[in-house]
Formats: sequence, C-alpha cells, structure tokens
Amino acid sequence: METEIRVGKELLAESRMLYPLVRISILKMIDGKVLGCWLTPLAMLVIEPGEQYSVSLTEEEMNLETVLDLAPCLRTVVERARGIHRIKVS
Amino acid sequence: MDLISIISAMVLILIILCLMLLIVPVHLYLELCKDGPSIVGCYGITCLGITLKRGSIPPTPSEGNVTVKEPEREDNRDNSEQEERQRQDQKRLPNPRSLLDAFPAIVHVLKDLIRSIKFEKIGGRLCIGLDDPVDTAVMSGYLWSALSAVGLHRANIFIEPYFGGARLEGDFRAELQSRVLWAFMAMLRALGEKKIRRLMMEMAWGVRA
Repeated sequence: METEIRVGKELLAESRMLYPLVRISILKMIDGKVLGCWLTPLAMLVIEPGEQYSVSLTEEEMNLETVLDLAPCLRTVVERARGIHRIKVS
Repeated sequence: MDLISIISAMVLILIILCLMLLIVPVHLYLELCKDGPSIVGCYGITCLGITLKRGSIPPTPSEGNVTVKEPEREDNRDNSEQEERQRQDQKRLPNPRSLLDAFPAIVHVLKDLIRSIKFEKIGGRLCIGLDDPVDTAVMSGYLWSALSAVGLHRANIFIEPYFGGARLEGDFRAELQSRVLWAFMAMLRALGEKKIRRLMMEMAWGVRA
C-alpha cells in the first residue's frame, strides 16, 4: 500500500481560490500493478484577498502550517498571495 | 481421360482450395506501445504457420519535428480541383436516413463478425493521469468498470492511475484467430440486406434512392 498527498485542481469561488488536499492510497501488487486506489479529502487551502487559511475536512485539526508541511508545493501559492497584498512601507 | 473431366477436376480442385482457405484459421497478432509522444508497434498475419504479412508501425513524429509547409500560391486550377473533390466527398457521404435505417443490420453484421473472432491472448497496460488527481481516480474507476462490463477483467489488462499530472502511456498486445469463412458468410448475409446494399451504393457511387 502506497500513500501520497496530492493537491487537486484549484477552484475559483468569486474572489477565493480553493486548493483541495487529497490523500491517495494505492494498493499495488509486488510487481507494481495497481489493484485499487482510495482518495480521502483532507483539507482545503483557501486563498482570499488579504487572508490565507485552511479548512479541515476530517476530524483532525489542520492549521495552515500543517497543510503546507503536507503539501510543500502550496507554500509558493501562499507566499505569492501574501506578496501581492503586502503593503510596502518606505 | 477427356477434356471435360480434366476441366471438371481442375474446377473441383479450385473449389476445394478456396474452401480450405475459408476454413483454415488465420492468426493475427498486434502489439502497440505508447511511450512518450510516439506510438510504435508491430503486426502480423499467419496462416498454417506461414507468415502472410508482417509489418511494423513506425514511431509517429513528435510535434517539435513536424515541419510546416509554406503556403503554396493559390492557383485557380487547384481551387477548382479542391472544389470538385469536396463535391465528390459530399456526394459520397451516406444519407443519414439510410444510415439510420441500416443501423440494426450493421449491428447484426458486426455481431456476426465479432463472433467469428476468437481472442487467444489479450493484454496490456494503460497508465493514465489527468491534471487533477480526483479526475484521474474517477477516470480509472470508469475504465475498471468498463473492462469488467466488457468481460476483460480476467485478461491481463491493467489500468494504472498516475496522480502526478497529465500522462498517457501504455502498451497493448493481442493475438486473435479467425476463420475467413464466418467473416465471408457475415459479409454475404450483409449483402443480402437491402438497406445495407442501398447504403453501400450511396457510399460507392453517391446514388440516392
């Protein structure tokens, strides 16, 4: 059994961007042939103008850092969103 | 021996030879492999251990290697030829009405043809990935269900979902056996159907009833 965490296709809801986080469990034979797979939605990363947060879809509590640890590719998304709304003080 | 008996013996031998050709099973094998952008493969037809035809499917050129021809000068003669060709193509398109009329008969003929084919070996692997892992999982589920519904769950066909991005790779191999007689009979039966005859005439000569 192999388990991996993947980010699904982003969804646009008005001004919000939603990134679903999915846990994929793949049942494989010894020779690598796939017998079945299970997808479990774990959390949702929400990017709003000026705010980024995560919503847990399981009973486990998942804050933004946990989500970013599970899916490091989302870190750039969050950093980009923070960069856009950062106010430069000169 | 007189001439008539020699001719009749020759005709008889010819008929026996034709019947043998129709009855003897013909084996066909096909191998296809898609690795990256190109598809390669080979095929062969054997009869009584004799290879009648063998060939290979050359790799398709990748998009980067495709050379785009420069647009040629428009010539009046070329245009008229193209128009004539288009007109002929349109003429040869079957009437949708007669296609619909002939549909049940076509299904019947196809069933007969499929029944005449015996799959000896069939196997393959398909690695499929879409840009969303959820879509990939759903597509894999559809494919697994379709394989099961078609009755190929026992065949060595494996659907492998790839969750890392868009991908389509795989290989397919099949060995099948068919007797030309049944296909011949199916074709004869098809020609016996008036609706199929009309459809064929429309496609061949553009004749419309």
